[in-house]
Amino acid sequence: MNLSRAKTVLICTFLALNIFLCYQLWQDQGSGKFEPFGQKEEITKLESALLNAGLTLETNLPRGTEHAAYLMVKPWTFSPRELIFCFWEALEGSRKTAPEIKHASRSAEKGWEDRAVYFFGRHELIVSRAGPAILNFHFKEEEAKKIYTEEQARQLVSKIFFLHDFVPDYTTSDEKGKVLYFRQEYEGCPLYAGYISFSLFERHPSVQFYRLEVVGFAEQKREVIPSSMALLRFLERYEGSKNEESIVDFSLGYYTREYDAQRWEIPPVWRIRLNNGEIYYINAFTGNPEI
Amino acid sequence: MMEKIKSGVLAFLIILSMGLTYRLWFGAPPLEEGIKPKYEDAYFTAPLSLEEIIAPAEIIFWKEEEKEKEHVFRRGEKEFVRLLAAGTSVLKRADKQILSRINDSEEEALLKTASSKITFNFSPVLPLNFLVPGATALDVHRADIILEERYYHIILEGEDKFAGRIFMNLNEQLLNNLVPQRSSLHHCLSGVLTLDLAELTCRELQEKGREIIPQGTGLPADEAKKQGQAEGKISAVNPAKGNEKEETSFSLIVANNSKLFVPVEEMQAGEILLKKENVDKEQLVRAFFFDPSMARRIEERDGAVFFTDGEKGLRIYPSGLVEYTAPKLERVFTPVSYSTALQKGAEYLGLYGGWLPGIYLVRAEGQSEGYRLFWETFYEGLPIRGERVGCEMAINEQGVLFYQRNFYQFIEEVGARQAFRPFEEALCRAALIYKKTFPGSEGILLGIEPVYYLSSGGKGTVKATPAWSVSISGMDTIYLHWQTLESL
Repeated sequence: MNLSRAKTVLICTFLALNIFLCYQLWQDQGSGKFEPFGQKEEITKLESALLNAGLTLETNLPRGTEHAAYLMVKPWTFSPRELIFCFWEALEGSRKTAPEIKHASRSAEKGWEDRAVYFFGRHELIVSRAGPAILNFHFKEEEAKKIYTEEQARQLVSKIFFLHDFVPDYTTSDEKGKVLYFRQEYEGCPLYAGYISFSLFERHPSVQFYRLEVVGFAEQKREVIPSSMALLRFLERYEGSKNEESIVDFSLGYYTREYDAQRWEIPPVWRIRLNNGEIYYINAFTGNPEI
Repeated sequence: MMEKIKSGVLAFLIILSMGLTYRLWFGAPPLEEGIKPKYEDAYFTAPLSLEEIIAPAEIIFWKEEEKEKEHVFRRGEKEFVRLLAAGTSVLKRADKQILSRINDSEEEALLKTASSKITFNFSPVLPLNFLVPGATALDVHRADIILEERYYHIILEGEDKFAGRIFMNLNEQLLNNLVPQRSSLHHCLSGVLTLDLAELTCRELQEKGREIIPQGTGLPADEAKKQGQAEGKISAVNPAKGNEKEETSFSLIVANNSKLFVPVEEMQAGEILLKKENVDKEQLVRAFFFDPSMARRIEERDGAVFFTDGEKGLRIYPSGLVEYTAPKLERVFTPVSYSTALQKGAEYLGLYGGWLPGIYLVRAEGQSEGYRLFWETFYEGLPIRGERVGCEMAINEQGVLFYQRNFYQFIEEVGARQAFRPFEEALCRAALIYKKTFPGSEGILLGIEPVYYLSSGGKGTVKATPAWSVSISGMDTIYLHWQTLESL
């Protein structure tokens, strides 16, 4: 017996055995993404649900297990006058003196009685206690081109210091014009509740924004539901539309509706954005829709 | 050299395969030490037995020697509790075997030979099987124990009337327990009440056409009024002048289905100090949300804290008021029976804050989405009323749709006890207010009772004032200060 040859054979045999044992251990721990049968079933179920809802998926579903905690936030307090000066300086620079600011305690518009209106020059700022602030610009024809393009809108936002934590999100278009959306971010996590919508309408562009002051993350982290489950839960409730729509964005972030509160906790959500501009939020802990 | 390396590699692979086999066979070691789960009692108070869920609104005692006089005892009184315990032990004997249907004339015949009778008026009605398991399906609104020499009758009235005769095997102790130990004479108002707003009297027009004497004085009405004026008590009511006699008369019709008992004897009461019940907020949140970590917390500007998981919400106000809503359950309609609603309501009350002594179920309303149950706290026979005081629960088969809880607990009496102003004066005062609001209309009297009224709630201790509560159709309930008869 050639001992050397026998050792070689045994080495190969045990090497193959150890590779097999490692694979089995890896499968046991559930880390393996190679579950062809389970994955296939899930895909079939999703495809069927999408078909029934009249939706197509034009983006990849995030994979992997994520953990998240509640995020504690509070309303952002600001001085309307300072805000106006910031916008004015970003628009005009320091070369033009800011106009006089006139304050009307209540908006005359029906349904907006709880909001305060500030007039400066030809423009107005509308603020409410627990909602977004709205800047309406009324430019003369020759001035309107100042913030008419997307790039100019982005530059304007970047010049305003209290909007430094906003990043471009997406754009929509309709017959009136384009609307550019920004979202707030905190430590790299999207905070969808905070937003800027920049309506690039000729001569009457407007900026609507809502910002949250972040206190911090809660201590306890927990596992969020997989994106596939969130999609299924969304499709169960989706009422559909006349046209065939598509899902263009599917991402994890934080969302809350606006509250008139001192501070509150907000949950992580899966955000589902359709090509027609509709946005849905699914609570990433419970799978219930967030309204 | 090569052979040594190969031997080393082979030995390593053998040991590795043994290690991997061991891991695969016995599993990985635990990542952390498990801890024994900690169990805690979910209920604030232990669930009540079925017979404790509904107590009668009043217990009325009558004996043949006193003819038309009736002694009435209300929830929260010591005598009420004692009589209820004794009566319940007797009523439990009313099973199917002894009960048979009777009509009104048969009932009258039974009363003719009775030496005494004790009546339990249930409002809300009591499912008989709460008292007697397996009994006939009957929602009882009145239960009588009619005592004779050698036996007693039980009469149960719901949609039908049943009676049963049980030969006397009550021991002397139990018999004594069925007799009140103190007097509490009341009169039952009925028919049309003609109020003289000038004289502050009330004439009850029935077959007898009697005039009700003001309580506690033993004097005829005129003399009582004069005495009251001399003591400066009646002036607050502003009696009208004599030549406007027609305008000073007012008629009140007592609602047909109402049994309005008013005290004939003088009733004493004083202001009391109450404190907001102290409910463990963390335990309350855990009771509503099985996993509190799923409920996010919102601190509102008014100091209230709101917990929600997106499907249901719990709000705890700074005053201690607790409010819970589960809108999703409202959309799911599953009918629930009356007795199931009562049992579930009692269970949920124990789970969501507790069913404390002195709390009684006072009303149960059937609605499209289930039942709405109301609880109040009683002190010495008088309910504690006020804005959003008490507990309200909307319930269906799925669970609780709405829950509002705001209970106060008695600390001590403050000030001296004084007699309530006569009920006739309270009625006249209420009538004056009604006349101003609805001139020319005749009112229907829905209720009159003495209560404690909490004029303003708060976080710490609050004061409750004795008052007359008067309800006339078309108008909100009026609360009149027990001494001055001013609106509270």
